[in-house]
Amino acid sequence: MFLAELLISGIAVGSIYSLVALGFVLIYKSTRVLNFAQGELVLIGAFVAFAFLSQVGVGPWIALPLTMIISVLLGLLIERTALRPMIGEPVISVIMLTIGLSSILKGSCRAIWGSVNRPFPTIFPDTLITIGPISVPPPFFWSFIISIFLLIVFAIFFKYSRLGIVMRSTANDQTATLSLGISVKRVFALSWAIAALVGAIGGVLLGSISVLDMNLGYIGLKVFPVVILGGLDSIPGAIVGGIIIAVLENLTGGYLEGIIGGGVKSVAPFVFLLFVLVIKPYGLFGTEEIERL
Amino acid sequence: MKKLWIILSVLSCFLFHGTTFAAEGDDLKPVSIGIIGDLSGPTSALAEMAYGIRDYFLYLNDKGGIKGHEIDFLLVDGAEVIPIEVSNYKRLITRQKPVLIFVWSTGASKALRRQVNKVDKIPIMSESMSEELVDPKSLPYNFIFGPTYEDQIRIGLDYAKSQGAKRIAFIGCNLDWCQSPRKRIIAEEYCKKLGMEFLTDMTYPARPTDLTSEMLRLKKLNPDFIWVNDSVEGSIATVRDANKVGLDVSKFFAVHWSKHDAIPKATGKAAEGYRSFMIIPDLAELKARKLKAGDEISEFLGKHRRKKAGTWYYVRGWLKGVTVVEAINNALGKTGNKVPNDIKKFRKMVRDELEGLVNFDCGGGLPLITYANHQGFIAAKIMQVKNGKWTPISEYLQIRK
Amino acid sequence: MLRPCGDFKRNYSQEEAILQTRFIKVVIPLFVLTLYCLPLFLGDFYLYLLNLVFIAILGAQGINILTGFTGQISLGHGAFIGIGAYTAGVFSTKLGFSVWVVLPAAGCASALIGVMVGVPSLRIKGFYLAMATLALQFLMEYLFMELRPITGGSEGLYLERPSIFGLVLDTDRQFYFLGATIAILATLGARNLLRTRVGRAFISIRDRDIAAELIGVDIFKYKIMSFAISSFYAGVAGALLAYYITVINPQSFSIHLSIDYLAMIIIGGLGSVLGAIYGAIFIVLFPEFLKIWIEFAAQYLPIDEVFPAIREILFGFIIVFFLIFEPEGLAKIWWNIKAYWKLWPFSY
Repeated sequence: MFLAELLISGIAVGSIYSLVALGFVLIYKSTRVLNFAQGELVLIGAFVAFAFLSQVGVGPWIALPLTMIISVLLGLLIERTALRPMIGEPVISVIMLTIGLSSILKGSCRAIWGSVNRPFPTIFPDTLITIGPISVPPPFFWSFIISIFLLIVFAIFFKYSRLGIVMRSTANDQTATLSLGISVKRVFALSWAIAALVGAIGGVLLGSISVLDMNLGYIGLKVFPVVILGGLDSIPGAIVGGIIIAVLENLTGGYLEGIIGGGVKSVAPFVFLLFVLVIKPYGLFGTEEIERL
Repeated sequence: MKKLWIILSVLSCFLFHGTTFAAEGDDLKPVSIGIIGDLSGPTSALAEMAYGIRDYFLYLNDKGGIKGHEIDFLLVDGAEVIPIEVSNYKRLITRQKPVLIFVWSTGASKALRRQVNKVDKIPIMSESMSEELVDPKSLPYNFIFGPTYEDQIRIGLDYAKSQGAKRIAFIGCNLDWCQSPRKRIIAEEYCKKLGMEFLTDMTYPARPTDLTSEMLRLKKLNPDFIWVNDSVEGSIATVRDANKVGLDVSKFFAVHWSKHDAIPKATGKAAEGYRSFMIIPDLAELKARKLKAGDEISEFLGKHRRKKAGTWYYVRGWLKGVTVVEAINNALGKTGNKVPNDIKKFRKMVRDELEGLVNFDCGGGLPLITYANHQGFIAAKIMQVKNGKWTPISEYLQIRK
Repeated sequence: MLRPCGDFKRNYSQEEAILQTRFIKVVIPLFVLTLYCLPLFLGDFYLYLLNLVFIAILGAQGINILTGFTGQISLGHGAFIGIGAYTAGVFSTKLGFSVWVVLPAAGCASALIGVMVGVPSLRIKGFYLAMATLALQFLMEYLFMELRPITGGSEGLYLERPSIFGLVLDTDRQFYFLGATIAILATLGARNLLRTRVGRAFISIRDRDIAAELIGVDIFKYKIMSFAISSFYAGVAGALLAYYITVINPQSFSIHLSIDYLAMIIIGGLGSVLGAIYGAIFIVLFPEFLKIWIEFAAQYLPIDEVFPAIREILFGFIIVFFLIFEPEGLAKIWWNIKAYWKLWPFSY
């Protein structure tokens, strides 16, 4: 019972990790940029949705599409202004650039909404859902359903749609893609737009299972163990990794914290990350990079 | 060339600022006071406390200051990070030369103990409520405002005993102010003295987002009374996740920082039965009871059109300002309304006057303030969330020491 | 490089000399002399800031050796500084050693951990190494918090100011001389390292590690060495910081500190010894000047409430600005200014 409850809550949170990691993976896959600002895209998404739902006061069916549009625009803006000049720069510069971006986004969020935490309006139906003997809180259940749905949609998008194939080919070989007459720049912009979009959805889900405050952005750091475990450029990896990491967090929280003491839960994913790096650096499903001179 | 001009203009801005800040003293020299708040860190939900102090000084300056002396105050952000607060303290001491400093966190107040009492000899009013800061003998310059965390845990445990609780657990975050009071109460075996069983002390990282596994563990241990030594974020996560795993929220009792409207608002029905302390009333109550501070605050807010203020945190800052100003007022009364040129002497005087306050009514409906114990007053009301509102379920409870 | 006429190099040692022209040979000693005379004129607050700058220079030179010279990205520099600080705390308060033992010991403890992190760096590089160091950062933060008997937990450790030759460095003015000396030594060390075989090996690894290996550079040895030297610097910086602030606490060595140090070398100029100094000065003084401006503005507007937000936004903008418009940082800007004035008024 105790174990089952830990597992269920882990899987529900894990699905949100997966969704946020998906954004990261998308950007890495097509542009080779390591996005340290993914957590802040989540933060902004959550706050924009909050602004529409609570401060403007429109219903979720208007507020959520508006949030998505705004976050897509934000993604495009970031790509055009900050990331495009960085094509071909060394990894360290790109990492620092996204760290700088995350600072800007977080600061703007703080300037607009202040650092006081706020309740996120309920957008999911309130009825308690029971699976067998365990009752699952509705936001958890719906987050899980929505995340899994989106992950499947994106998996299909990449496998079968024309645009998805274009994005995959860009990831594979930019020069070859360019020579086929495909605009790589547009693919870059598109991947940032999608990443911002899934980030915003993740933000709305995260906001509805927890509270709205500046802390939401920390999920951006949790994404790293997820993508390292799953493989940097693998969408199934993001799904599996997210759930494994969240379950791991809950299990260490449930069993180890009583023995070792507080805080193990938050550090466990990173210790796990170190192990993965030593044993299988390219993760479960990642493509191995072969360097040639 | 363009680049060069940009650089030169930036440099000139830097130079320009070295010169604008030399203020000359005269007969009505301003009284300078430093405020260190947490405007961006993990406790920034309570930043209203720092704004309350600032706004009282603004209000007073509008009215002509303390006996005609303007208050030259500076509000800086300490971010609840000890080195930042310490460095801000140093900035204030060396640049502003204040007569008193409001310090924020427990960690910084503790870190500064030696500096404050031995080197600078400047009265410090901490936002922290840690018992380790209250010792009029060895820490003559440290003051706090109200009952300590340890006092609150003791009142809470006494109350739990009176309600028939047997199994006690503590939880809280890993910041110093959350952790050290729990450790002290555990060390003095207060639960055992009351004949209750102490089960566990759980620690989680500051500003938690998910406490599900902690709550599941608590549920397994099945305590009757759980003391939450954490601020608003921790309480919200606690209430939300306790409710999620089916742990009775009315078993929880949180330290007074958690008496925030955000808790019932953010968690809805889940918060029913959550308890905490009220030490300072909020603006609505001040107004309802027609108290002096209430009128002043409404007058100030009306003039400056600040909407958000009015929480008890804000009132707390305001009342602290009132108390400190009373002490400075008394000190100025003794010098013939002159700010002494020797800042050290003035600091000592203000400290003595603050310690000398007896049965002072700050106009906020609090018990009378007597600062001989460096706490002012030791009393708190128990509040409980009922129908989405914090409702008092006791009168001001005194502490038996 | 712009050089005066007639400055010909006749052998390699001239080419690699630290002080190359006659002008520099006069100016640098003069500058050092002025640096030591400054405490006579400056107030406490400025000395306090300068002391922080010296400590930051030390740390920035450290990360510059690892990231700027050797090209190994570290997001764990804050943790290394923390290890140094805690070693200093434990050695000076619990074991009672003097500053002469504590500073090297802090450096060595940090270097030891650095070597342990360096070992897997042979296999993982680039982003993966950044992740490993990030994980180290979180792990160390956790250990600082939880190894309560050693680190004092959330309360941390309280140190006394060090005493040198019987003189307790109690004031900022006294500490200044220690800080300045160590910062100068660190800078000289980094500059000197750059022109040795080791420094050249570092740079070859940064530029193309496979090629470096092919021409006979022992990558493993030099990577480890780079980690060790870099974290030694960080450790000493941490020890100085602990002595200076006199209280250490897990929060002080968070990921934000690592990011600040990375920002220093990015803004100063990656792989430039002088750049690390400029960056350290910039990052330490930037919030202070911002504060002064905000304090000034706060007299007229209720702006102090948004100060933290403004600080965050500006910090981000500065990093992004430098990366996009001046990737070689302040060092390059300074060089441009010099070049401009050297050729003035015929600057084209």
